[in-house]
Amino acid sequence: MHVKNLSRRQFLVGAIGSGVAVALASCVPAAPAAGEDAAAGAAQEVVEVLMFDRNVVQDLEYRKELAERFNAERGDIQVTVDVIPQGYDQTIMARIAGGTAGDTFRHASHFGMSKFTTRGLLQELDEYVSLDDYDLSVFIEGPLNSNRVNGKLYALPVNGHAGHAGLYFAPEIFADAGVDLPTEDWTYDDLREATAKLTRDLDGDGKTDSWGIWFGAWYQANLTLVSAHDGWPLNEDGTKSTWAEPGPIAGMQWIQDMYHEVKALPVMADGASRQQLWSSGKLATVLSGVWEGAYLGDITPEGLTFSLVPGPKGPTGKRGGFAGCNNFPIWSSSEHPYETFQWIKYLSSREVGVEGIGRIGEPGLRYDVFEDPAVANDPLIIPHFRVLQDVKPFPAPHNGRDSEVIQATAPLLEGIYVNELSAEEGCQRLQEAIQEILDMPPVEAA
Amino acid sequence: MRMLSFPKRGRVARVEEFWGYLLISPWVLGFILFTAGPMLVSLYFSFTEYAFPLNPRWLGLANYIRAFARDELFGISLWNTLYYVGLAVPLGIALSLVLALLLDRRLPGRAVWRTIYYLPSIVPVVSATFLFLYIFQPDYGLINGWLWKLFEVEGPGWFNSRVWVKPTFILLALWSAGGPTMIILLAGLQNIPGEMYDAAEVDGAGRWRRFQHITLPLLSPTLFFVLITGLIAAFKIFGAVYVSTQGGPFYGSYFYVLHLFTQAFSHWQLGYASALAWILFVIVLVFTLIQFRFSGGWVHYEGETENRVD
Repeated sequence: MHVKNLSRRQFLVGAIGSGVAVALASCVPAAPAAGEDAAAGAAQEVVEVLMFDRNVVQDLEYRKELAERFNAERGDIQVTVDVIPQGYDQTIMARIAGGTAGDTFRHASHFGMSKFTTRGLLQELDEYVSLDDYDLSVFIEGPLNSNRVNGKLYALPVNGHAGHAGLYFAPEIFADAGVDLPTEDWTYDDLREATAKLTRDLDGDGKTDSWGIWFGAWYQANLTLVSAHDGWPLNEDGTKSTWAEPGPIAGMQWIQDMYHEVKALPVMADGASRQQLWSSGKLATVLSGVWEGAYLGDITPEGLTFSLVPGPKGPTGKRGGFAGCNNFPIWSSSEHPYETFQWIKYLSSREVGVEGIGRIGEPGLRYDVFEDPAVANDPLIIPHFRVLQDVKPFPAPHNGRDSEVIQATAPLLEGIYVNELSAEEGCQRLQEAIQEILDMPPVEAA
Repeated sequence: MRMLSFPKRGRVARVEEFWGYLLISPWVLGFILFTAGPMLVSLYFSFTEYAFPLNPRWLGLANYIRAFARDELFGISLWNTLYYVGLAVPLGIALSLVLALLLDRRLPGRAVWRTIYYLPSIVPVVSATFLFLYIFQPDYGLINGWLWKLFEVEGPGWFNSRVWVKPTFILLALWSAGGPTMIILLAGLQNIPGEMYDAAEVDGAGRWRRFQHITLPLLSPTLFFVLITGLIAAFKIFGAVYVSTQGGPFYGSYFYVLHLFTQAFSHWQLGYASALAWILFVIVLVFTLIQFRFSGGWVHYEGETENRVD
């Protein structure tokens, strides 16, 4: 028998060749399995819809339960809710590349819609809205529009919030400091004055140990202050940066003053700081969103309670925030977009919107949700609703470069927080940095 | 002319060769599929615009030109990384060496001490980072609290200061100096023959001279090894930054791999991210080659003598 010797070089060349071939092959989207079409034809009556959700226990359990109810109601559509345990954003993109992303996925308008739409990854919904004669006027305008890109609708608002639009406060701390409780008519000047008094050295060691306020040190949280001062980071169509206008500068100045003049909160205090300070009774107010109610309920220490008023008014009487919503866009690669739309409509229904408050802490974003008797008198929901009616959708760059804008914004905001940049200088630099991104060409569509 | 001839391999040798290749093939295939293959593919991507998941489009050298000519963050992240590498690596090795020297002595409960010093290195980086975030919180953290109580000194902003954030990450790296580096150095120390110290002592050499003329030269191959591996690891700093400052404040801790990660998995610009990865590869390679080039002057291997006379 003839045995051909395999040299080391031949072995390595062969192995490297196979490796590169397999690595390249893995970059090609997966083809549907053979026989899939035939199977689909055989079971035409029942359409299977696959949805991916984040690994948030209460959300996931609730949506699985909703899918069971929907499946029972609609024999012709069967929804499966699957979870991506970790690395959600990376995994969902990898699944899209591999052709295994299902029909719809959990997203949020304030994580950027246009990065998907400019790549041609999402299904437009206007056609289905017309086909079903579906009434979009039931939705609050801001959240609904946050699902549009260049006028086209890509998702329905499921549940959400008005940004960091509510002022939570501990009345007992106010009483102890001899400060009047916040009211709906408070302005940001009132808040500044009160928090200055609420920031105290209780143990007399010469160092502050009880703070007047916490607000988030990040872009989304700062939109509340910027918009309350009549500012907004981008123009209407997302083509121009507007950071250097008076509104954003005034909003960022307020933030910088709170850190460095009033010293009413630790510089760049993060979410963990808020938790530690509030749970130890050393924080008087929190400027945050509708999700905060359930959270503070869990960590408020004994002897303290909390209440809520809408966020203060800016110089022209405007309250700040942005319309943010969780949504479930449909992939353009979905084989059953219309059936998936039926499921999305169910998730956006009034019943689910009302029930969602108790189950996942956020209301549905329809007017009739807030008219429901169970919601209309809820003191932790209604103040947010009042802001929600006035706020704009999350600012979206026209060219789909959401993440680049967010990424470029954060460090310059930090420059203002830590006093490396004056508010004016920081906003000027933001203006230039963001405009540079907006001037870049759109990400090419597929 | 005399022909060279090699003995023919017999069947047994060929069978052995076959089995040899077969047995190493899982590792070789794994390496090629999951390391070498993706590396080569990323080299190709680095010459393309690859706005994932769209198809890559050939760009030539544009990504490399962008990094050096137009990307301000490339320079910032590289400077921050070099600052970190330049301080964290030598300080880390020095501290590991001090700990190794201490734990090499005949102390009561030596094994317990060694375990205690090793423990921080097995704490997951995320947990250690969060611990540091709490301890170094400028307004109510433990460190600044002590500084105030003991000396009435306002501590720095640590993670919240553009100036202090890099030194704070260096402190975080030093915290686990008792880990693998110390163990390797300890093993190196234990390989130094005790007679050499005895002889030096008889000759009247003090502690410092013994350290200078026996310990350091004989430990130099080990030091060289931990220097190279430490350098490579330090260039790749990512996890602690990603879970804490995300590069802030104001780019103060915006390290190179974070920039690479952001391009790849936030902006989904895999072509540019691949170019950044290859640039980092070349930088690390250059630093390593420089170390090898100059190692002849200070690294002494066993059996090696200067001015050899045969």
